[in-house]
Amino acid sequence: MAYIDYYKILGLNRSASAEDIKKAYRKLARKLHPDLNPNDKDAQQRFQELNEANEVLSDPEKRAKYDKFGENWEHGEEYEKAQQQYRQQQQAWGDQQTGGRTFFTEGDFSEDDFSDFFRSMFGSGFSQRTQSHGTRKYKGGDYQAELHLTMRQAMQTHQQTIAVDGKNIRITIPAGVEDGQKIRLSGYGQQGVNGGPNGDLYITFLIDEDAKFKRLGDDLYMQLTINLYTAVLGGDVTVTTIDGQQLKMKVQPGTQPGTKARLKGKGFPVYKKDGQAGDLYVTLNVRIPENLTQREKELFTLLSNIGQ
Amino acid sequence: MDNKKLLYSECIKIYNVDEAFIDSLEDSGLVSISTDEYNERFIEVEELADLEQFMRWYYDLNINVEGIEALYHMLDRVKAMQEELDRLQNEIRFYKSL
Repeated sequence: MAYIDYYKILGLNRSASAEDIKKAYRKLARKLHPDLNPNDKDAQQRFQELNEANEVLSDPEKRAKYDKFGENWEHGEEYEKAQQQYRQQQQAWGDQQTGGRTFFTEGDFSEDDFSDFFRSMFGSGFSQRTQSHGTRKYKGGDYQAELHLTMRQAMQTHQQTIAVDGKNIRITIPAGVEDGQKIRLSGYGQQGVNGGPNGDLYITFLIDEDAKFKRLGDDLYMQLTINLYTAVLGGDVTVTTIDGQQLKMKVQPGTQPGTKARLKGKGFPVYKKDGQAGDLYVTLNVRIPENLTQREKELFTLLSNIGQ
Repeated sequence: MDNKKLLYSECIKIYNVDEAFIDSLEDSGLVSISTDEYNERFIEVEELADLEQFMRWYYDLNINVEGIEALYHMLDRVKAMQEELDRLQNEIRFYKSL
């Protein structure tokens, strides 16, 4: 566990007054508060550090202890371990002597204060102080999560189970979610402070690309290769949509390569609009015959001559 | 939309917040408080997330109600711009993949 310079976090030196600390905290909190920096993990991390720094330095008792041990906090931890050992020994032996106390304590802090100091610096002490000093209920922090879906999964309303904080949550994903779209699940975030409501869980959907279909909003795009004869003479081709439907599509005689055909309502489902879907655009590519037989060559030559 | 409502007096009690603060948020149009036929005041449960956010800004960050109003509208714009950015990025990815 590395030493944390709380003064550095607040941009202050060790002689800073309580008022300086309050001002520096508020100034940085306004800059780094997660409410004002949505989706900024760096700001969130720095805000946590800032809160911890403020937790210690704004409390005269904790600050005094922090200043006293400073970078040598590890020795303090050794003291505490030794102290715990001592207490266990005292209990085991039923020893009524109290001389040990003066050996382990330095200055004027008690055993309990000493362990509180470390808890407050490195973890659970933060919430304890908040609970004992504050009476206002606060909503817990929000969680951010990402969920990968294939395009085919995203086009169907379906359920998925995700693990948050060791709990499995079953969520319904509506058809039509977009890449990068975020949904909020109320109450699935961190536990509230002082009995306040839980935070929320935000899930960002990341939709993987599909090999056959490209998506733009609610419309889908695909390529379909037709043979030269259908392109020249016209005819019917079969288009397989993303949900596996086989549709017959008419190709007009004289269709040029790159021609786009629209199949209305055969695209991606519109988010939270049951029964509505975008369109499917089919770009027609024309396959030029290769390895012609002698007969085919003769016929193409004949056509070529007619055309000239 | 969720039409669940919380009694205004309960809300004050739960959040241990000044009435004057919520009233000034209402005056600024940041929260809406409805009144029923018995003159009981209510806050929509849907609005509690925003209210909690305003409380954090007011009590933790020392931002006054005018500041909250400005911030709220700015964040709304940031959110809209973020959505627009996401949409445009999706479009770029689409055209690049062609």
